[in-house]
Amino acid sequence: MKRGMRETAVLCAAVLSSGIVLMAAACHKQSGNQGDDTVQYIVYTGGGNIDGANRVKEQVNKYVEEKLGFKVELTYNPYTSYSEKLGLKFNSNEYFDMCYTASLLTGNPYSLRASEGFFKDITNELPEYAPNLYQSLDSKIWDAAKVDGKIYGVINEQIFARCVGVAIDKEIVKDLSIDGKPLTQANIDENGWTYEKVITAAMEMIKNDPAISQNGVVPQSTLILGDTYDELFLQNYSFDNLGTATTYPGVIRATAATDNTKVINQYDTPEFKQFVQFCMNMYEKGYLRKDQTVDITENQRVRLCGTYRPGAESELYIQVGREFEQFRFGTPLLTTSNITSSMTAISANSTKVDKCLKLLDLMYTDKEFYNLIAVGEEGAEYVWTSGEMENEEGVMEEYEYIEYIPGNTYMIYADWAFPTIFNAYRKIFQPADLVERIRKINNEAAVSPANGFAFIPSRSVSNYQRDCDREISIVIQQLLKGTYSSESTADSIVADLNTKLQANGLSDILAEKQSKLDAFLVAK
Amino acid sequence: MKKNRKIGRSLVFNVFNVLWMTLFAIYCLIPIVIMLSASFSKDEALQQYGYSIVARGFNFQAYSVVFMNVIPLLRAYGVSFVVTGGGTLLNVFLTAMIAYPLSKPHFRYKSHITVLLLITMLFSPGMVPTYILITQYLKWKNTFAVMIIPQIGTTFYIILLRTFFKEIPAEIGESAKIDGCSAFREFLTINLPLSLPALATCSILVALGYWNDWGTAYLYVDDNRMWNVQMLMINLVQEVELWKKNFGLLAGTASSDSVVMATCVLGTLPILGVFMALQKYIVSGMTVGAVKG
Repeated sequence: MKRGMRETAVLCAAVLSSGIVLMAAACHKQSGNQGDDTVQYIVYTGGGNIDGANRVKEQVNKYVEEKLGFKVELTYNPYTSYSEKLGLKFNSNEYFDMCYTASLLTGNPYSLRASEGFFKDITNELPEYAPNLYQSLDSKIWDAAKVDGKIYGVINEQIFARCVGVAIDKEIVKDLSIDGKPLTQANIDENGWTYEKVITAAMEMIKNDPAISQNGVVPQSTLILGDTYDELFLQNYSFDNLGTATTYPGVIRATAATDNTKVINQYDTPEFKQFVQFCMNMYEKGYLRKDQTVDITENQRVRLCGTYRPGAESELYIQVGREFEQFRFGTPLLTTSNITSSMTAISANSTKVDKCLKLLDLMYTDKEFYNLIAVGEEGAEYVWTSGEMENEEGVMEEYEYIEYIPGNTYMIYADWAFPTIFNAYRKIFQPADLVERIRKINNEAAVSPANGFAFIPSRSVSNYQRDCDREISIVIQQLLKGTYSSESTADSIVADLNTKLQANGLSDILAEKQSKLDAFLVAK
Repeated sequence: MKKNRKIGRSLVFNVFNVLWMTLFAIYCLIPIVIMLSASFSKDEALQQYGYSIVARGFNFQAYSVVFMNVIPLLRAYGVSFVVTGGGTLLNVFLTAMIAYPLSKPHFRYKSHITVLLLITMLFSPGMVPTYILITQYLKWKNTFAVMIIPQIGTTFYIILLRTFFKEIPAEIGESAKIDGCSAFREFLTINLPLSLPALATCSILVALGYWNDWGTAYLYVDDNRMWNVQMLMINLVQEVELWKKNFGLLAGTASSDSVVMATCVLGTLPILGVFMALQKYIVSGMTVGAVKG
């Protein structure tokens, strides 16, 4: 009898617990506070200490309530876990209102997410609720954000038109001459000097300078190549990667006079061979060391900045403690990937599109608010200070700039992840007309014929792309880090890679890209 | 003659065994020694000679960089100690409670429950369903619960403890029952104290799991005030890069490599101490589970 009761109790407990789980599943709705007035905003951060976030959040809410009449809940996500966390939020249907996204952000790529229905179509609401932000950008810029003709995200304003930037220590620049002429931007443009030529000349000078190199051995980290494949290869030769990851095969020669919409394999071009040869030369001539153990910041003299960006010298001065001069190579180009490389999108679940857009518009128009959310509070995160710098006419003039307080507790350091970087307060050695200079580059840049097109592959081609990418990434990393075989030549590296790509579905990738691009161009 | 040959063979075996184990121990120790040495090495020395067994240009610069923001570090240690300490106690106690009835021969459903438990060892529900369960049904995001509860009831430890409980003579429990002892009291006052070696083994392994767990905080903790040491360490490495970029702080002082190594040392040392103090229980406990399970 007693045993029978015990069994019944066990069975009842099992049935009840299963019932509770099933009931909970049946009652399941999206989580989050979609009903209240608070906008839930996922902020992308550089990964630093954000102990002071609550203090800043309080100030942000005071400001937003006063100006817009609602509240905002900021959730900070460091870049290292951003893609995984966002991927989980989307796949689990978790409620939030808006988040950072970008064309090439792994785990949260803008075009793919938009086409999958994870982002809200804001084509009609954008001009109504964020008029300042909408009107400030040209229609060709908004074209890049369109997926099937609709806008699903707000473009964060920054430098869109991209080409290669190389910064060289001013002391080196002063004495450097190429073909008997001094190194100036005008001479680079006039004589068509490539970055290969300029870097080689600068490094040769450093190698022979006994004050820097002992017995012709260049110190570690004197030249920093970094992960600059995109810039050195794609941007330098004006290839448009058609909205896919930059290593994926299949690009167009965007500025070519003819045939500029033909999809080609960029790894089977003379330009790629040139890039391979450049990387190999850097190691073989002893400018870069294969046995580099650590990154010695203060040794830097020549730095690949990636994209040419006025004001990058300021960041280099802060990092290295030395004044640099930056030079531009190639033609600035507007492509879908370049324009949509930093965006803010509203989740498809959001019930507060109007509030989200108003908040973004406030960040766009209100410099004080932008800096509060992106940098923090004056006195806690930064202080105003003054100094002197040369203006365009070469005259020294006084200017004011902000200096971060070391050990501050709101280290976001991703001010480009908000609606406009042009609201950022001036930093040391940044030119007074920085914003005008960047806007000028954006406005005068060449526009790719495929602007607005982002290739979304079929499942089989998506797999081919990944397979090819695996092979390509190995080669690129070997070239940038100097770990390629000593028996390799530029020809053998290019030939081997192309054989592997052919075996991994290259022709299918190119054919599908071409057909989708053609369809886009017809519809356009 | 035969006896001498036997002794000779045994000697060769012992020499070979000791030699092999010594080499293996050195192989395991070298990475730790290199980590320690690099954390105390000077920037220029790392640049010139790379990593070495003995620190070159011995200094504490990397540690001073790590301790620059001492409050988040202390708080993270606090979170880790609460999760590891509280989690281990709760985990081991509840695991023992599950294992105990399964060790009783008269418990009718023990084989069914054991099969169900074994299924959890072979199949996992996947990341997204687990995330939905934890964040949307249980609402455990940014709580201690998410860092402690999902790890409770690991099948391996249940089987280990079940095996140990089986070894306790049933007569002890029966005589206690005759004296009016309840089942729970029998478990609490007789079986648990008798199973201390197995409980100690479980505790160490569970504590190691809690201390080294960064994945849970990575996925389920958005609030940086709830970060454990491992999560803080990951972030600190990124933070050092930010310091370099935005302040040039490390120029001429510590390199980011020595700072990374210093963070590893700080993340490893506490649990390494606990492990070394209690390691004998791991061996004895594992033997119980392996030989008689």
